[in-house]
Amino acid sequence: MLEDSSQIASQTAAAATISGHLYRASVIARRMALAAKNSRAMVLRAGARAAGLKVISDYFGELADKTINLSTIINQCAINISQNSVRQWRTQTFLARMERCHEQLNGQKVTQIEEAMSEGESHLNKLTHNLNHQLSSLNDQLLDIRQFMQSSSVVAVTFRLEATQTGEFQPLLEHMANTIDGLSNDIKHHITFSQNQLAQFKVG
Amino acid sequence: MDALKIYDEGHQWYVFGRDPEKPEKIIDTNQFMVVDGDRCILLDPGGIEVFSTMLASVLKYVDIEHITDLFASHQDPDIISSLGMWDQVLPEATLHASWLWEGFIRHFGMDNIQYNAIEDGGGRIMLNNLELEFIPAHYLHSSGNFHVYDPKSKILFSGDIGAALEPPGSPLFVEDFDHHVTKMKYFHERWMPSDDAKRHWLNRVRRLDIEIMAPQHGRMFKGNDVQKFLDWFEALHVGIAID
Repeated sequence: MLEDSSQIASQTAAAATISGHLYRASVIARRMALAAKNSRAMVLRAGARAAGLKVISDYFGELADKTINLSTIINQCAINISQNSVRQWRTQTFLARMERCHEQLNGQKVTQIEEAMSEGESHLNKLTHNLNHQLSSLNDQLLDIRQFMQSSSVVAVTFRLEATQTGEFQPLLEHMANTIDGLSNDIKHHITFSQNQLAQFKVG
Repeated sequence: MDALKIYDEGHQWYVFGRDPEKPEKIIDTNQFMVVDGDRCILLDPGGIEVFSTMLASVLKYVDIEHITDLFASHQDPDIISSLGMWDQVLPEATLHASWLWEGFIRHFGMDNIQYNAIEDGGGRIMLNNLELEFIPAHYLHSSGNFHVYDPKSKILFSGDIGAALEPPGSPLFVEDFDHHVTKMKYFHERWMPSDDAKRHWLNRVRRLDIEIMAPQHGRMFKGNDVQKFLDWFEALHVGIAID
């Protein structure tokens, strides 16, 4: 059964959109990594009073780095999906046109084009299989980033609590915790958007 | 799609065109097929919109495995945008076209077909026992442009030279040259960019013995009408958009 080519076009656009949002998520993750570094410097300046925050700011840094790496991998995955969709669209177009040719031949010499049609269908099946694999992988990776960001929000709460012990550094450290929390939420927004886009894919 | 055998003495030439199923707003095109035994070449096989009908029409005369070669006079979509489709149906075929356009034409999709890059000076292809010549027609209108000449049948496939913009259902051969000029004049004045290129081509083509001149749009010229066309074209000033 041939998929509607507008469906494939939507998938291609959705994959490209995911790629764009993940790029933006990776840019935010870079800002988050910088914020984590700043918080680490601040924690060092606060000395013994902020000793408990060092581990937490290191953790933020790790989350940001993991997010940057994962975003890059996911971005490539989304590009692959987009390219796969274009190939699907092209093969789909080929099969649709071959079907029209088949009708016009009125039974004469149809066996000559059936081999090419069969090859095309087999190619399309392979592309669909690849797409399903790539989609599943993309979905898992998006879930990983979402989990990182959820952890980041939870850790930000702990960071704020610990900051109350740091005297005059408290307002600055709280501001940093809020910044990191805000950036995590921004990344989550892009991940949620990407997950919604993924839902457009018709897995066959 | 109409099909007409225009030559049949040892090998065959067919023209396909006037496709009633093509979308209204796309320009009508003539596709040609030269057959020599179990090998055949499609000349300017057409745009993606005519692919289905073209394939069905061609298969009425030859078997699919006999279509071994394709030729693109230049890179335009009405010439070869069907390539991505032919590529899947004829994975063993060779496409002959100007070296200049290889990187561009591949954008139409070419994973399987081989590209034979024709040098600027032209080239030849043997189709079993039949030799076809690739005649340079650069800048008419494309900067890397070739025509195909068959010395045996004396047919020159002339790409966009001799083309006319005509309503659907027009005859395949010119019947009244003077009247036909009105349908060709603007096309040549506007699409052809260079009087120098025109003269260069005319010098080359006047040395050939041509019985039929077969353009990719409009009607074919036969007998005396070929000479009439060459004289008319020589006198025509082209490249009018920059006058």
